[in-house]
Amino acid sequence: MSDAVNQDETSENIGGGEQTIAPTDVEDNNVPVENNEENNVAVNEGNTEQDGGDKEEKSTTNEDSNKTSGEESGENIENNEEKTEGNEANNDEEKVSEEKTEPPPPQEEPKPVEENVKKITFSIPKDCVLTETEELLVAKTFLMKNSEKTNTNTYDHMSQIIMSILDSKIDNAVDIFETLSTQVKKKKFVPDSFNSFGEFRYVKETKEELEDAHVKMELFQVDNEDGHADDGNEMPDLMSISNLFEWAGLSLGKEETFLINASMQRLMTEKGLKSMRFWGKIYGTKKNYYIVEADQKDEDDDEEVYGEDDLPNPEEEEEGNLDNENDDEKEKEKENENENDENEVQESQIEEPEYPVPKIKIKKPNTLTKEIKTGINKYMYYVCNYVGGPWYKLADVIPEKLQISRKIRKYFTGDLNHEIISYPPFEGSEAQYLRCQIARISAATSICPTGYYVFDTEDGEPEDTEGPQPIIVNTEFEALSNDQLLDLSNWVHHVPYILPQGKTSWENPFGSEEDEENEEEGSEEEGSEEENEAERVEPESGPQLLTPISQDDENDDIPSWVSKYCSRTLAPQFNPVCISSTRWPGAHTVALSDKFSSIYIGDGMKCYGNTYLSAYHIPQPLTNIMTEYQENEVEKEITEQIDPTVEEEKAFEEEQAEKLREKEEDEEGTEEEEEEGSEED
Amino acid sequence: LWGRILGVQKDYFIAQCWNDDIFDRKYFYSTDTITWLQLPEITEEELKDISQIYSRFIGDPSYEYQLPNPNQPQEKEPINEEKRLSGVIKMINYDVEIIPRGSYYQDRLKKIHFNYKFKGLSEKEMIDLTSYFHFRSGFKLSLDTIEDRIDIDQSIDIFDNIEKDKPDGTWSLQVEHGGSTITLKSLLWPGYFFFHTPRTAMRQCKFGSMYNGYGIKNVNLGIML
Repeated sequence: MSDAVNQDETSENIGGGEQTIAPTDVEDNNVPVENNEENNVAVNEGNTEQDGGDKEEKSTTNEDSNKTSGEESGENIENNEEKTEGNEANNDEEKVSEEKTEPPPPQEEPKPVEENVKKITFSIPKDCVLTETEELLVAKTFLMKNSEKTNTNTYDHMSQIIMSILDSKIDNAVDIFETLSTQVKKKKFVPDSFNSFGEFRYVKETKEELEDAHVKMELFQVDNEDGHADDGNEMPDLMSISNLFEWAGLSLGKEETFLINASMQRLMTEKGLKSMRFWGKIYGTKKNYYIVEADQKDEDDDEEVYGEDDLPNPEEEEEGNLDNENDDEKEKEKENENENDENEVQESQIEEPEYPVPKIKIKKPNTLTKEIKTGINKYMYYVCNYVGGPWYKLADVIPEKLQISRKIRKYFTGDLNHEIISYPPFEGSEAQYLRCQIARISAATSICPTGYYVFDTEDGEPEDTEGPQPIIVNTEFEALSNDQLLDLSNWVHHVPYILPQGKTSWENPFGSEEDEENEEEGSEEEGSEEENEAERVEPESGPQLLTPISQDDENDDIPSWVSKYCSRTLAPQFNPVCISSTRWPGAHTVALSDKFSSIYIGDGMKCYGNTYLSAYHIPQPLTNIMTEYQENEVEKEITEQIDPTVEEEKAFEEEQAEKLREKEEDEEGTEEEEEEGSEED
Repeated sequence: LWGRILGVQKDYFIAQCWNDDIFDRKYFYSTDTITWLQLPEITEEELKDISQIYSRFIGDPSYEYQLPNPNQPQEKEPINEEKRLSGVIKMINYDVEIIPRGSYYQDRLKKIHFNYKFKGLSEKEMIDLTSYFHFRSGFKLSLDTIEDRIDIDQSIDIFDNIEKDKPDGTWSLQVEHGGSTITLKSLLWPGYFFFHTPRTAMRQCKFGSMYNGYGIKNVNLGIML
């Protein structure tokens, strides 16, 4: 490959000298045209002051200077640099420059160059993707990339070395090349500057792995001496439960499970929780969530809660255009009496529009009250992003948000404060959305064997309670055999169904009367919330608590629950049974004789059905845009008239005036006429 | 083991095997990891039909699917689950199978080899999506700007970069274990994940991927992000 270049040079009378040998030879070649070279190098030097940012410019100035000093020297320099580049740059670059033959003189140069432009022919491989000049540019820009530490680049450094060599005219520079290089670098070294090689800089290297190890170590520092077995804390034995899950293929891995266990223990002692259970894991795009369901011992309201919403007061929203009746009704439904009072005062201040504003006749539904400590919000949920990380408490479910969460389908990102942007607008943080999904999943997939829970019949009669009937653990529960566990009718829901309204107990949003709860099975009735009269709103109802899961609606054509043995070969009495939900893929319950446990591992999305249509999430259609006023053909309520033109108006006025004059003339001069006349004016 | 496709009643384990030509692969499936059956090859038309099916896999290989739009006369055989398996695997492989940059290289005869000396990606490269490629044929080196090109090495940049996958964010990259492992999950085919542990002084470089999911493409990806 050097042959071609050699031909070039000899034909252009530079001198013999193999290009492949060291710079000294090239130097000799270059001595006769030294001035021009120095020009070149000087130009390069000048350009090194810049940050190597304008790479294109540089290469063009290079080319320009090449033009002036002649192609040969330019070529030589390029070759020179290429060779030394080859020494110092990556193997890849070398390959690049070696695989292709020598770069020709830049072909993009305009043609005023008078010297013989030798078209050097090479054997370019047919499928070479880049042209030679472009390869050169690529190589150059690569060299011009600044190193991060020192903010210089190879290209500049090389040119400086060459300049120093040429300045000092050292013989055998190749032997002391390295020393020369260090010398050049030394000149640039500024101690204690921010970017210098950090001899004097104290660098605190924190590797991520180290930090992670620190976090995990803390988990292990549990003070076990203080904990007593009967502290009132119900801590699940996660290790043996996870054994069960492993049979079903649902494990998170022994290491992770153990660490989660330790982390949960720590959470329990910190917050003083009565009982807890590992609910599951939800995947997010950036980070995942580990979720723990907990029951609190006492009222503890002063901890930071994620997703706490300042419920917007309906009055503030509606800009004071309400009936007074509405105000009264809302009073009943207010959560905080204080806010109510404040708002009433504000209301009266806001009212008094200057012109009569039409009053809205449609009653907006009130904000539904949150269920606190019961029903859907019976348990608290804590989440953490990674094992060993801090636990965040999630706020209670807000019924409206739950309604909307049914209509949207969004991935979790892993950031609790992330705003969910969707249609219909969710207007909440990811923490709220997460909590809604957790609630829905729990309500739909928390199951237990028949007989484990029974209705608590001590507290009054069922009809009077507002919430779902409380259930307690059956102390006389006899474990079902494994065969029976396989049968889906032996499993029942033990978490109340969430009504379309977003709560487990019906609440009339218009609040005129307290409707009794309808606990019949079967048909659900949607509350028609846009009726004008509250009496027409019908209560919503859903399946009763403790109904067997075999009666759940089918998921199109596949059953909504599937049960199977976990192993093919084990005998039935030792074989754990795994019950999976198809509606919420990822929700599983595993049972073995008397032990059972549920978990959810997945991305928190519901599977709506089995047909090809249901795979597509069809968002709520946009509301109708306002149409223009449609004129009723039958009754012309509005008629258009053309405004009279000026002439017509004048004519009209003159007519009137004439008529008056006629009147005046008709009547004899009386006072009335005069008065009329003056009135007319 | 290529992965596992969960069906309603039973799951399928899929094994993948190949010879010299890495793009020509054969697949075997099994419901109980003991008896393995080979999956049939499918044609383009069948592939189109299969991509219309969005129901769950049942678990019975001979189950036949009713296609939603039977425009064509019923000359073709209805799609049965075996064929659907085969089609789904093909689609998944085309869409999401990835490898780290540098793990395969191309020699002068344009043949692709596995790089036994691959040591893994550096810390910075690990978290950058551009260091991962789609493992599929039909790649054209794109040379837009010079800046792009300086990093290209023709011997290892032989596949499509996953950075350009639309929509943005369809790959979820997570660092586990304090930075020692990387997992890349695909949101387009939920259940496909790829992991990579770069080599350090103490451990070997590993990477691998597999599919563990329901075999249903996530068509709602755009609105879910």
